[in-house]
Amino acid sequence: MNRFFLEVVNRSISAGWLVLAVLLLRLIFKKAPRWVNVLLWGIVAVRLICPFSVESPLSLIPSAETIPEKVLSGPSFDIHSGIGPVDGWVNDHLGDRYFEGISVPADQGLHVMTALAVLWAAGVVLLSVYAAASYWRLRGRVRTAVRYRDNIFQSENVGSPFVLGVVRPRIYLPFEIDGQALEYVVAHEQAHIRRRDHWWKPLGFLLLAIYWFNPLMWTAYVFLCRDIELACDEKVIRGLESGQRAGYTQALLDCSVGRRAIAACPLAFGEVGVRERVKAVMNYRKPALWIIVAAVIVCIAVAVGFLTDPAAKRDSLKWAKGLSAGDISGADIVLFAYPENNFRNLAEEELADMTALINQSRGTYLPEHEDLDGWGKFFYIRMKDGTTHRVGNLGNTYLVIDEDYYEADYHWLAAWENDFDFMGGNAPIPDGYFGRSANEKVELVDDMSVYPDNAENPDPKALRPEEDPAPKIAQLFETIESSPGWSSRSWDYIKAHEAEYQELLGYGEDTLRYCFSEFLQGDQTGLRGHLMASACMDISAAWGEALLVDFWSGQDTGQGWFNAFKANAEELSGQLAPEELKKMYPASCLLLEMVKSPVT
Amino acid sequence: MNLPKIHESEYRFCLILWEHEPVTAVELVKLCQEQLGWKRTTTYTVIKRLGERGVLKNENGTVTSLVSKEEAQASEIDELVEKRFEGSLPAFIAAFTRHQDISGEELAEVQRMIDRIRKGGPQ
Repeated sequence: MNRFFLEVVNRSISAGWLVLAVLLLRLIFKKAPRWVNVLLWGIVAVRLICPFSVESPLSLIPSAETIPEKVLSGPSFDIHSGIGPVDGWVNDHLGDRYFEGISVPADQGLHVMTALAVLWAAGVVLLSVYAAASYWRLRGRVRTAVRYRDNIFQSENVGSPFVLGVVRPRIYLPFEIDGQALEYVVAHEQAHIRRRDHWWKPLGFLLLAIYWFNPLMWTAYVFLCRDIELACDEKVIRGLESGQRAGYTQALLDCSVGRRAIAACPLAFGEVGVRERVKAVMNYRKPALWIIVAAVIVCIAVAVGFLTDPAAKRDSLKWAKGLSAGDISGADIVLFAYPENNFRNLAEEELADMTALINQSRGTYLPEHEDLDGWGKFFYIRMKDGTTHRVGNLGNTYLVIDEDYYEADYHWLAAWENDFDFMGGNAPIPDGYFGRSANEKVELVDDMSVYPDNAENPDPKALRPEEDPAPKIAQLFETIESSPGWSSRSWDYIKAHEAEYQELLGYGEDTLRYCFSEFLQGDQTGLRGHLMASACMDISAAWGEALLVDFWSGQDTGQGWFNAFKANAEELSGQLAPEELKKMYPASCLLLEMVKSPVT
Repeated sequence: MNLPKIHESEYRFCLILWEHEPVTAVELVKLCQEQLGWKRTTTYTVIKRLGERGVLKNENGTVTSLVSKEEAQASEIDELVEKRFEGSLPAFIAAFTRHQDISGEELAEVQRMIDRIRKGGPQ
């Protein structure tokens, strides 16, 4: 039911645009015959009823799926209203505040939607019951009505004339009307029947009952009723001479005086907006032919513009939005225009995060794009069905999916670093990755159109030469310590050498081992100690270590931090079973292993 | 006079009843269908309602009126004179004669009625 409700909401939003357009047209085309207005409302009804629609570039609707199905599954809440600024404002606002499982309870989107769907269904039932009850009550009142002639009846319970009945419509009049006035009134009600208004009005109310939550629908219904009456007046007037108009308006006025609660019933005809109608009748001129033609053309244009949906997204964008981690067999990160370590094979656990990031893809397709002289960070994804895809961030300017370039939101692109744990590399691109030989590898880095070989991509860790990373790591630490020199806060040094720090983090386990072994030897009370402690914390966090204790409390030095960390690890090993320990505290586990069997 | 109230559509029904009584309910249903366009249930409901109000009585399927047409008409006139002419019958007559053309025959009949009332006899 949730999905159905979501579709109802989206359809009412699409139709809402159409209603606004029709209201605008109504204002502009005051001189057009009123049946044009009713026709326009008919187009609105078609939009609301038809479950499918044609896609066309001529569509004037901003978006056919303003609230995407994704809100049912979470974890984020995006809207695609088709209006850039609105989308941007809402999604930015919610971006940080709404993330299921973190800033809001998990499954919040689903629960809220379910509650709303139930509320909607209740509203539908209520309105339907109201309509049915009103109809039966009216039927009861006019049961003793006596036939005047044909299908015209009179009753003392009728305040003002109306038509009742869908299949065999009957005209009901009060006894008080007689003479010429009666004939005019009958002509009016018969015109209603000929125009089949006794079908359109109930249909309109039925649609209103379904889409009741959208205030534009109520507006549309009110104006529909008005336009039906006015169109009816016009039909009658066309058959009268101008001298008879006064008599007709007199009858109108006489009828409106005796109004009673019957007008509240949605299926009967009250006298709606008498003043407006009297004015319209007295000022009626037969519309010129060109106006009629213009009005018909406008109607066709409206139908084409609003009964069609905006063109579908390109396949590549559709793929990216629908990507599911379960279909991926493996993925790598490739960094273009980076000096070294521009490659990383993603771990199994990271695939879900990467997929979530890629699912957020959105942007405008660019058939032509500028050549950027900048960097690019790409995911190369190998699917279980054997195909390869790539999704990349070019200079925080373009979103690239396979061969398509999209103009995407800068903030979202720049946030890739935050949304995906580690967008850096930890190794050079393996030989033969793009299906070319080693000597071409260097130029490759600037060529954006390459794809990796479809052959099984070997684990880069295995390809990496068996060199001891320790000197490399030490080198990195030295580089970081080298500046700015005037500060005693380790943070300033890390800031000054972000790339090196990222590299350190990229080494992951190797860095941890290096740091732990340095700490185990003791005396790391300087800047190096602080830096290593920082790196250990960041890597542990990336590994999923449950950092529940603040090891910095009461400590000024990295060594102090480490001592607290080690003591905690030893305590944990006494409390937890080995599998649990490894799962929840992998870094502590590593340290304990090192302590048990020290490697020189 | 304290006659039970008869609404307009019920009055049309009574006209049929007065014309054909005593008449079976079944026959009434047929007549009402033809002349008034009423469903069978409607006719039965009206018979029941008027019966409760004392306008007619229904004995074993045969319906007879308890209020005659003359009585009903008189009651209407009373109400009209009371409401519109402040209870003054002459005022009503005066208004009536001002607008309607009364033939010599009708005048004679009215004269005879007035004489009868004066003599205190039945109308």
